[in-house]
Amino acid sequence: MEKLNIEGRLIGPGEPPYVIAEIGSNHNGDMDLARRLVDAAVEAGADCAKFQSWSKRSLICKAEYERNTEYADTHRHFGTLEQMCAKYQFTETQHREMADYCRERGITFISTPFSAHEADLLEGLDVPFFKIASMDVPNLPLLEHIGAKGRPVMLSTGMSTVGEVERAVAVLREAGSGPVCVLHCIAVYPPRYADINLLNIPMFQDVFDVPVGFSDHSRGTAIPLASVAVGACVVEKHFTLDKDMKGWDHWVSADPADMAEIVREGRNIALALGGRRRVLCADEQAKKLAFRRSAVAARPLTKGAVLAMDDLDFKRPGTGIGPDEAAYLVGRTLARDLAEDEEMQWNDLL
Amino acid sequence: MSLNKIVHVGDKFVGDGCPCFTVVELGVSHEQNVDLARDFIRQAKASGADAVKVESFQADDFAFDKTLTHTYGTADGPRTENYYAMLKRLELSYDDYAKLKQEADEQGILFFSTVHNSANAQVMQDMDVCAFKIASSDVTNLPLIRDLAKRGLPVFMDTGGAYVGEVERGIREFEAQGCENLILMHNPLGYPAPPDKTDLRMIPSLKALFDVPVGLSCHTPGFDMVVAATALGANAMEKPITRDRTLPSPEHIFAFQTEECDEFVFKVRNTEIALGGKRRSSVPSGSYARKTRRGVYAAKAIKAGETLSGDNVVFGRPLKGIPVELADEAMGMTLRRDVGVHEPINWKDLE
Repeated sequence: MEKLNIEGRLIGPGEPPYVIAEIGSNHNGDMDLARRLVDAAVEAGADCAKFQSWSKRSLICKAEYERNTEYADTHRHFGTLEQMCAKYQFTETQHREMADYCRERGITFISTPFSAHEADLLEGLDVPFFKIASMDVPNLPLLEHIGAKGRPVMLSTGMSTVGEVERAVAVLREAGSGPVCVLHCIAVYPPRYADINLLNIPMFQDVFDVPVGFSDHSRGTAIPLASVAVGACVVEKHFTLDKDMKGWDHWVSADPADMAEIVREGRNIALALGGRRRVLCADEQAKKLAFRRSAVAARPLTKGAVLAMDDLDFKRPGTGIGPDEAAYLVGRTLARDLAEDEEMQWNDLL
Repeated sequence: MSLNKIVHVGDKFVGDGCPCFTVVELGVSHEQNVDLARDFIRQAKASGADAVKVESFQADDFAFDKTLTHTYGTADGPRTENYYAMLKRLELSYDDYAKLKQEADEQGILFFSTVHNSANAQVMQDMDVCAFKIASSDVTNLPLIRDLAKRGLPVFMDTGGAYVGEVERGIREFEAQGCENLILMHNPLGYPAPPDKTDLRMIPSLKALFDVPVGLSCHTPGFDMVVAATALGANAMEKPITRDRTLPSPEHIFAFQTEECDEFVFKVRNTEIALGGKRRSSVPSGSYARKTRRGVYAAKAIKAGETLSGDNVVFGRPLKGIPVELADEAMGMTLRRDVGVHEPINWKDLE
């Protein structure tokens, strides 16, 4: 299996999970907020800050804007679709600003391109890999265009069948992409638990022989942490400073405490998975002496007595004769008197 | 100290990702005939096997109860022999084994031996064997395990009849003594092993438990289990060779005959090739596009202006026009031109 190498950080089985703080449109069009989000992502320990490279013109067609002018949920939607896209779009200048800021703060800058033009812009900003959104799994022209740039690719797979993922990976590779990582993703915000199917993660890894990650849209940290436990090499989650902020995705995003927990506990889980081989660590070896049991006299016993099973009791500590050795005690003769509850040793027997 | 997942045996590598290590077992089928054993070695080399193995026991070293008997299957049915007498008639001398080692060296094939005590191990080590083997009955022989672990050679350990705990304890002893190169051999019990006691799934189980290479000591007549075990991921395959499998001797019934040695190696290699990878390799590489399926053809001569339906369309090969999976879209569309019988229909022919 080919791991990804992103600015020296390896991504794949056995490596610590690569955490992507998806800022997306959570900057609400405000670059000060964007910078504070990057700062918070750095502080939480995320490996990567991700944006979205679409413009009002490149993503949605005119007729669709005309069809979407009113929304019931005004906390998330402040105006028409067109007005919101105009505000939240990420301009070329803003791209450069945020790429520089991320570099300065020491966190990888990535953005998902939604058109060939945006992919070219990102190539110009020297992004270390390309992220492709779930909605573009069937966008074969875009996949070819991005694949030809020869960089590693992370492909989200929400809404897609296995065949569509298979085709997308084939097209990317045939176009010349670098190593590919597939992100299991349910494109519902948030999905029902029974619809998440985290077991798709080891399935994709097994069948496609690529590193597989998880793009999470659940509420909270349990599901992304569980994804690490089933083998996700990448965890991506929307990121906000405040889940109650106005805007599209803040409510299903991780806040700084959530993101820090995902980073910290994700690493702990990856370590805790360990291996299949049963190995006793030194601490456990030592514990046997205190936690197991040793043979003691069940009642006062006299020298010369022939031991029967009911003369024996087994209590902590485990420094003496274990209960699994009782067969070697029964029928033996005591060499000295033993008080009730006194520990028995081998040289107490004739 | 941890055991290697890939074990170096002679010039070969044994473990997942490496070819299955094929071993022709000369063990107890040589009929005390050194020339016959040499033939076996030459055949093993000619067939492309990776190694030959011998038994080098000296019965007087351990077979103390002269009343013990051993029952085994033969071509003529079960046979019972006095165990000690049987061992004596299956023994070769250390001089004989030295001659066999020399033959193996001249042929250029790896040579190793099952050993039964330190003196035995020393003799074989002095002969420069590439590995040691421990028999199933010695999985609890901790003194022998400790001795072999320190000799610096890889060890094959048979596990027939052993509890997981006994194998585990043996492995811990190896590790404690500094051995890093251990290959477990699943060894179904029986002469021959009946199918319901073959337990081939122990092969992946032992791998899951101990993370070391695991092979099969095949005790079944024929090559079915050789193929099955290779398909289950066996990293080594050992089977005895004989001149004649109808001979009344303990392992002949599940041995392959000299002229079948090619087939033994072929079964393993061919299965490995057939296992392939997880993704289909039969898709022509370099192209996701498909031309080899069926397309929409005219079932009979159709005139311009007629519409396509189940009556006038047939799905034929090769795919030249509309692919069959898109046929639904074409149904009900009208032809712009006349189309002859069995001519492919294209989108541009329709409106």
